Amino acid sequence: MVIKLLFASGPSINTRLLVAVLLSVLMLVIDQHNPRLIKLRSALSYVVYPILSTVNLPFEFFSNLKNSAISYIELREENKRLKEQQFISDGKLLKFAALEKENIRLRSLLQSSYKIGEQVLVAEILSVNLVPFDHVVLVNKGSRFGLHLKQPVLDAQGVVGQVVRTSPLTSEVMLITDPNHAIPVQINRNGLRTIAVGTGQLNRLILPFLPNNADVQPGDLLITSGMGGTFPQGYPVAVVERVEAQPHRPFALISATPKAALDKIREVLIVWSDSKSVPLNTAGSSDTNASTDKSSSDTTPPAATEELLPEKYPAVLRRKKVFKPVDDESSTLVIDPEPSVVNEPKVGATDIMSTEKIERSGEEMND
Amino acid sequence: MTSPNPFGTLLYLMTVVWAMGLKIMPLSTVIQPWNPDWVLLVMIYWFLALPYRCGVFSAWMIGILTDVLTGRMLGQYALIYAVISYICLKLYKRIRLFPLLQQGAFIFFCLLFAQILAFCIESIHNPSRFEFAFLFPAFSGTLVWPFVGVILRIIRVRNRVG
Repeated sequence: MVIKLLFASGPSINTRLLVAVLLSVLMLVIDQHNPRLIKLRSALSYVVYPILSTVNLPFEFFSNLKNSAISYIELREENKRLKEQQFISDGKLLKFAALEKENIRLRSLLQSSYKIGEQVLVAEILSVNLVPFDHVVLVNKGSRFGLHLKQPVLDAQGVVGQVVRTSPLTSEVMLITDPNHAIPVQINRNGLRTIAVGTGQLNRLILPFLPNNADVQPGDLLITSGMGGTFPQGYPVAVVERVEAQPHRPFALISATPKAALDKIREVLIVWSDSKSVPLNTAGSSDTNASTDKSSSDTTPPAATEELLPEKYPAVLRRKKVFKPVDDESSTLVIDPEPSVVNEPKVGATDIMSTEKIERSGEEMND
Repeated sequence: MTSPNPFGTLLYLMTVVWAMGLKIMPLSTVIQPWNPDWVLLVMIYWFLALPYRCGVFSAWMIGILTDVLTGRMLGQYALIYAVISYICLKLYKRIRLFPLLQQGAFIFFCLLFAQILAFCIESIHNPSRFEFAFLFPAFSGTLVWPFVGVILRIIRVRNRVG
């Protein structure tokens, strides 16, 4: 039984408002300047997580339904197509291995280091829309999987965005097309570096800081330049769509289309780029091993790259839980980026580039 | 007279959770800017219907949860909801007697005020140009208000929350 008080007791409504407003302003100020409220936020994120997953549920259900209702013939065709695709990609990867080897050798000649060991984790995008004007999506992996701020996020075609906030169960990813997002890029053809800024449209980026006489053509591929340190170098970002010189202005009007299908993606790859690099004189193979993984420094037989790659690459794209090393002893796949943060075993995490290749290259250099 | 439901507060919270779900519902990019602030609409109804059950502080708590849910700065929606709840709780006796049109106007100004406040707070964080599209939720919210009001009234009367 609720008692309807004629004369309210306790603090008056004016006092309550004052307290509430002061508290909110205090929180706003604290939240803007230091990360002290992160603990409160992650605690509350457990409370709101059921809401997020409930909203996501119907969409997940329909996509599952679509998957299970697919016909045998379609499945067979898809299988065939995927096998062909994989055959081609594997072929490309063989070449990639050779190129990487060569790159390491050349860099060691130049006395410069070579970064290795990027590993990825597959995350699903939740079907929720947080705020209307920001291009921020929610993925179903959080700090419990070791995600942290400013991690690059990719899909199979190109760069998607970066992690802007993590909570234990989910993380927010800002897309490269968000008006507040800018990504350092370079033109693949000639190495010209610039910055690509989001526009708020999912299919458009702009390059606002290139002069009118810059060597840019429609169709140029923009890749990450590695400047700024957030995005590792060399991932495709966008393709230049339109170049328009503005003689009366200092900069040309250039727009580009993102490579990643930002409006369609359901799954993304979250990348840990290892800050360690191969030491300068990679002459000794044991040196290389020590920098990457100690456990298998000596036991590793020089495995053929051709054999390893076809098995390794699908492991990256495989969604389901368990990460299996290719063979137990020899594969040195996971370089744990931040062991202190990870509370659970990281599932599905592998690296794209194999350390074996580097070992082999080191040995060859010995020869 | 039947005795009121002891789980009334629970019902209030359940409808708010339901509204939070609607708030983050994925929609096509055309409709998305028009998605009204369902949480605020539902809370305004409860402020006007049961002012002694839900106060400024409960609105503030719900605001904090909404901040976490939508990834805003902590305190943004808390501040907005607290202020709106104050206005509603001060004026509920008059609003209840208003004809429908005037009530709609009141709701519209509440939603408009909330949107403008939200824009001001967000522009502290990242300054952006004011666009008319920021106010779309206020218009759509006013349009859906009669339905929200009727549905919540049915829920309230069925469950004998008083």
